Amino acid sequence: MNYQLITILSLSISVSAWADLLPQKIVRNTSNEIDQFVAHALKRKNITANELIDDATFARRCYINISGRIPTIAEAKSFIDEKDPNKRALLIDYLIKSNGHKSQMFNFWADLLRIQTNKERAGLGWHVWVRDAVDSNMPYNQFVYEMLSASGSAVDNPAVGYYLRDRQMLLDNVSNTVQVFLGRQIGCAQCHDHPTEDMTQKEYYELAAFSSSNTYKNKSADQLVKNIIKEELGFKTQKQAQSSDAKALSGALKKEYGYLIRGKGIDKFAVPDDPTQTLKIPHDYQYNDAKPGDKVKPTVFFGQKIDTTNSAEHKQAFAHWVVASENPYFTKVIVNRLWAHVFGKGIVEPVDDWSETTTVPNPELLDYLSKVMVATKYDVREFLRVLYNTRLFASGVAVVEDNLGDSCDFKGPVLRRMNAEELHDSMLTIEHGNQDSTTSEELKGKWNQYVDEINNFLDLPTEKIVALKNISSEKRALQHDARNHNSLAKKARIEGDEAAANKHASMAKALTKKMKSVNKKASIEMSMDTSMSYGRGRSKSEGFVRASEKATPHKPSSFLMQFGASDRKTPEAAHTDANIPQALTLLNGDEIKGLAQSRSTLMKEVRKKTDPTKRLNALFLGIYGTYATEAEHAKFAPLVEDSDGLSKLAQAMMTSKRFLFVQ
Amino acid sequence: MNTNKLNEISRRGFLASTAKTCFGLTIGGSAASFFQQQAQGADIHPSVLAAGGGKAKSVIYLFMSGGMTHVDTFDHKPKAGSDFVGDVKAINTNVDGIQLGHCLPLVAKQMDKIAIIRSMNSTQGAHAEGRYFMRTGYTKRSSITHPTPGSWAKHLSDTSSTDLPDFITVSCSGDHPGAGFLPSKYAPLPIGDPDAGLQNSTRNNTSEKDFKHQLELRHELDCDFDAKFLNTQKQLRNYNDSFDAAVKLMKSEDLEAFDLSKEKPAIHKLYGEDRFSKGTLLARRLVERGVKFVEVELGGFDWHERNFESMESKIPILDQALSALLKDLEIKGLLDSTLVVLGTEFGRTPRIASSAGRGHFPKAFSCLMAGGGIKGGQTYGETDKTGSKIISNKVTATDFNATIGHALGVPHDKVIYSASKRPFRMGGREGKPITQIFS
Repeated sequence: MNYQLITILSLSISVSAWADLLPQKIVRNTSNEIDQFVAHALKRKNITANELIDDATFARRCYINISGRIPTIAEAKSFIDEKDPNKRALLIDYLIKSNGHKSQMFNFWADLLRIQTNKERAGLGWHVWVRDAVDSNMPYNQFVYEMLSASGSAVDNPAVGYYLRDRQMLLDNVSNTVQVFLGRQIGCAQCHDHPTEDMTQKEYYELAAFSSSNTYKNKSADQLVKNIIKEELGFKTQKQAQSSDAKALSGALKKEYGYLIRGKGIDKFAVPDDPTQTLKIPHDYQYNDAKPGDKVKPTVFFGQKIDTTNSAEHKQAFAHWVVASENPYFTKVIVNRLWAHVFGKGIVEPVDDWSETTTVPNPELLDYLSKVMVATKYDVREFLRVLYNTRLFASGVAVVEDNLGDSCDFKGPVLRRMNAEELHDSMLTIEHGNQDSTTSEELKGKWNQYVDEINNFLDLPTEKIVALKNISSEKRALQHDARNHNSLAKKARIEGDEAAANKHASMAKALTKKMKSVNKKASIEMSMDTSMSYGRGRSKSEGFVRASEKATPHKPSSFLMQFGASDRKTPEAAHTDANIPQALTLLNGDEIKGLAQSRSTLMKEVRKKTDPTKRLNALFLGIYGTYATEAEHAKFAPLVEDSDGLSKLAQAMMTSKRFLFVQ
Repeated sequence: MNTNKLNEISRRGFLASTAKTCFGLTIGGSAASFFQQQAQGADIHPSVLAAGGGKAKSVIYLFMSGGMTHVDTFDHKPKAGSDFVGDVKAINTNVDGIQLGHCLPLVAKQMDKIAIIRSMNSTQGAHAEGRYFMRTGYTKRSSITHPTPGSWAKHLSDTSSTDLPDFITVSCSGDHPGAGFLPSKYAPLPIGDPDAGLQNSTRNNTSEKDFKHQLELRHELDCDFDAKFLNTQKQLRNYNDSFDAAVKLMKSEDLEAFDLSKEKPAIHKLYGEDRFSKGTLLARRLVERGVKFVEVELGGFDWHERNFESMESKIPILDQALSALLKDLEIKGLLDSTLVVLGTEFGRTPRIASSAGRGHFPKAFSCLMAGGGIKGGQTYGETDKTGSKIISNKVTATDFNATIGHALGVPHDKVIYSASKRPFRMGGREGKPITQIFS
């Protein structure tokens, strides 16, 4: 028992001393401890752990789990051929620092947080913020704190995307917060006392009250407009400004400016704090412990009580409470989620339905893992590194029946299918090789452009804003007229009056052209739309990018959605369930057929080799991450001698279970 | 859909003996065929027929996701006061005494086919929980997933009149419970985009010989994998099953049901251009060929702000698609045998909020049923003068789903046991069908 304390201590000392990865020795000691706990639990049940896996299986498993894609021919070959006895630990270190891992972890968080890049501009900013947090290895407690305490304009603090995701839905947002970060399901209590959890509806409201200061309208935008109108109209006296004519004028102007401001999203992509805003008990409240209309005092329903004397700091206080290492759920929930991410199932299942009465199958292990997380100061990358270095991770895969809520004996990582992103990225690797460093310029570029334009706009002198407003109004008038002509054209076409239809259509065209040139006139050209184009990653501007570089949610008929990517409506909505459309894609899809022919980088490399033995090995390395066995050579070498047979074999391999599942 | 029953059996070549044993008894994971084999279903009980049930062969379920407002649509209260009414005006329908919100002029002309249930009630006011409860009749639990009406219908009726899957979802969101704890053969085939239809359903320039060769190659490549893992894990079993099912489906003559381009432009125009409209049209094509249950989702009803603006842009889509569907089914003589259902997870607060929006309101909301033996031109259940409280005939999701079962003539009150030996019914714990709305 003392030995654990030592590993924990050395972990936390080292974290402060080392800016880069922790020394392997420390990591390995920690991993060994974990293996002890696992072995102990297996022994108690008289179960034998699985054998260690061979190098090829290990490499493939590492690349998919850590980097989110299969290894290339060169990557698989170099690992298998490498003689260094420490190569497995070195591979883990290499991969965990790679861009591939950042991509993989971004998908992990995006799925949990329900990031929707292209629903609102603020979604784009949040996407970029989360990706930056992953890239810079932001500690998990800081990551959560910044989102939960965020306020202000998205341009200044894109982390407000967390609250904008649930704009005007405070109660739903609280439910998501508690589910994602504290692993508890409280949603039921929105409307009545929770039937199974120990939570009343009043307590739900009390928890939600911590973020009741969230407003979704940028009042400073209103103030800006007021000031500009004053200047533009130039009234000299109070009396002038109060006349009914003046009021009508400023009313009309307010509308015009409204369009301009709204078009740029200045008014709505913000979550300004208003501590005077309070949550009230709903008017149909049915219990005796409060009256409808009562102001709700923010209180937490478990753990340490929060000091709520400073009403201007409620959100920060709440955020502190959530991420505190003393919070009974915060650490063990993330630790359990990450364990599930690495090994396929959590120690506690389901991973987001904890309660006071949850039985933990291996409490000592969970406890130790929590201590490790705290000792690394919530460094998710280090924590994962520790898990990847365990003997458990290098053990043969285990099959586990998928009944909800069943606990798992960890003889080995659980057999699973590659998830949608991993599958997509593996196909991408086959087609274009390692694309870990290919980013979508469009994504970050659009956000940066938006930030610059908003900041520029706010710094503009009044005359320029007035000019912009005039241009915006002219544009809108032209657009309105063009639309009218278009609908008249449509109507005329239905009535069979081709002449009138053509006349209207050409008028509409001319107006649209004029509108476009008016737009150009504006000295600050602002794109009104930062929604990403729906590409299949094949469009010129998007390039050939990994799933994490694409805007979400993905198109319903896309490969990613078909294979179970999350629709980002609920937390962790991704799945790897099989269905007929998936099978049809594998059986008949053009994409995979094309990959197997000559279009892909992989096949080009394979075809270069003329000797059938070398060819088959290259093919097996590129698709299965391993050399072909003697038996496989005997069976398949004749097939790969000609181009056609090679394609057929490649296609069958890419759609086999051996490829799709992670052993 | 003219499938010769004898050919079906010989073509498929194996008996699904579990089909008969599944009736009300323990379900295990079975190695039976993915599609139900053509077997003689139990005859519909005379008492069900007497109560107007058993007329529907298919169900088209239109699910409005996000919580469809009731007071702005099917339970409008013109005299409730400006705090409640907002920008909505009442319009008459082709049924005396029934009025709707003004965004539904086309549905108003089909009112004689529709039964509005104005007394829906739920205890679940959060989206995920609300949708789950509406779709399964049980509250969301972490320990089990319950089946949805489409899977229940397939499981309880035991007949299949088509090669196509009996349960198809169109544009449904990822949290759809599907078959729940029932075996994967009762899971829906998910169509994401109705315009794209069922992609990759043909051999696509591959010869029959090459296609077969691919199947053999794949089988050989997976030899070791199968030796180690075959049938050991549910996920794997489902994977193998869906592969086999896909190969079989490719041979179906009914596949063109998924091809919307086969419909005349006039029909497309009738339904509308929105993806939901296409989905509804697809649903009609599918039930025409004997698919038992098609669920189409339309999202974006969560109007916490700018309720009336959103209403003006969203409701006309529903108006056009629903009225087109009813008219179309009637013309094709399918209305009596097709139950059309409109559901949602909850309504919206009758009192307008400061954001010009409405919040979640599970205490009272409206759903619809039409066709399939339903007596049209009626309302069932009543709310108070603001639409805030139910005055009569409260209906919950359990009753609602039992009603769907009643229309189909399936034993919705039959108790089925999950693998964990817990009892469940299509109509939830105590749901009773609303027999009064049947003719």
